[in-house]
Amino acid sequence: MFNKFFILVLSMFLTVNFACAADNEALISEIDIQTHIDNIGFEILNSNKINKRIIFTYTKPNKLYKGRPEITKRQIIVYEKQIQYTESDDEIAALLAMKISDAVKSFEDTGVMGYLEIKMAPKKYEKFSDKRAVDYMVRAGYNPLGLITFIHKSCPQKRNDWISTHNLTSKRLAEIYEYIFVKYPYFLENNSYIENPYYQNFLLSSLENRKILERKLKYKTVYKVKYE
Amino acid sequence: MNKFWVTIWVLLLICLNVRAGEDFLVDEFLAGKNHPKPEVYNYYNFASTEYIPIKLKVSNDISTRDKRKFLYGEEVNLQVKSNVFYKNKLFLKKGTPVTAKIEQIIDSGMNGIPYYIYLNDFAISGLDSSKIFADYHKAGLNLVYWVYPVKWALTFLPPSGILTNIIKGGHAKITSNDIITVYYFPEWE
Repeated sequence: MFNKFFILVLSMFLTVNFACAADNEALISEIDIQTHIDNIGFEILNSNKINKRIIFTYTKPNKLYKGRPEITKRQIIVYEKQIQYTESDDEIAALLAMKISDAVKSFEDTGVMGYLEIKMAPKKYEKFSDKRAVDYMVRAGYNPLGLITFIHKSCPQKRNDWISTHNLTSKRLAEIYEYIFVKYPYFLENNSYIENPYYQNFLLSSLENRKILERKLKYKTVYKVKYE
Repeated sequence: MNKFWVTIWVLLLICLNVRAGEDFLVDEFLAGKNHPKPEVYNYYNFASTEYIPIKLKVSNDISTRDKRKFLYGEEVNLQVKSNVFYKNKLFLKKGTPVTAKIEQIIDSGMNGIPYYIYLNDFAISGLDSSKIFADYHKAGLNLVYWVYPVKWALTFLPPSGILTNIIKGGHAKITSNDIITVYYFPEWE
């Protein structure tokens, strides 16, 4: 009787202990991810001499933040699902750099109109953020092609963007590619992503847009071209 | 239907003579040019608070009205506006040439959003660029402040609020009268 009681107590104790260990592992994993995000995020802020206070918060998908905290609270929220799309530090830096760009822009006009300007013209500022993210990444020592692979993997391709608050992903990718091509050709000339399957798929799916860019470069047109 | 699209893609690939695994744009326009690796600012120490403000002006006016649209990263010439002194010694002479790069241009947009010009990567001869702190941009005439209230007032008479979408903000122009202040932190590493 006494032995049975002890076995029961011991088994209950072990069950609780295993559950705690699993929780602890999950917690340690979350802390590791948060630390990694902080390291990359603050590296971008310092390398770009961004003298504004911005924080980074890693969160599980069950906690959704309303609105755009990167503009209102200068708090960059990184969801678990977004991190799942990243494979390298370049891609994590890409994700953070885009949001840092929005946060920095929101500091320019501290009034409500500055916030509204970004909210009312989201497509315009999305393109701006993409390009600025490239600059931020380069100055912090990351490969900007990581931005292309990250967006290519994580953003869906809608039918059109007439009434959407986002640009067509193919347009965004084409503009980022053009920006890197003109401003940072080093990364395309010494392309470490050329054997990356996602980058190859981007090259395949952006064939027509790259043909448009080819015509622009061939005829030395400096006007903006319309990508599809 | 799928077969149709596959056929179209295959024909297109054959017509364009694209080989898998290669980027034809890089081969055509960048190959063999050996572009330098962009500078990385990974080492820093921002402990020092000592700085020297340097006032600059552009040598030639820059305007988004210019029909020739600027290329990303295009160089802009500036000069030091007045003598700069540090510890009672002449640090920079008036007229010292300075270069900067056009970092971004935001086009004007619906509801009075203006053009923006962003300058960055300032380089002053004889000074370490990594010790220069600059955050300069200029916007055109911003009409957002009165367009939005009008838009909201018109919301009660749909769809008249849409009419404000055709109002665009002004062009951004940096003239020689504009003072661009950058800060040099001599003790930053």
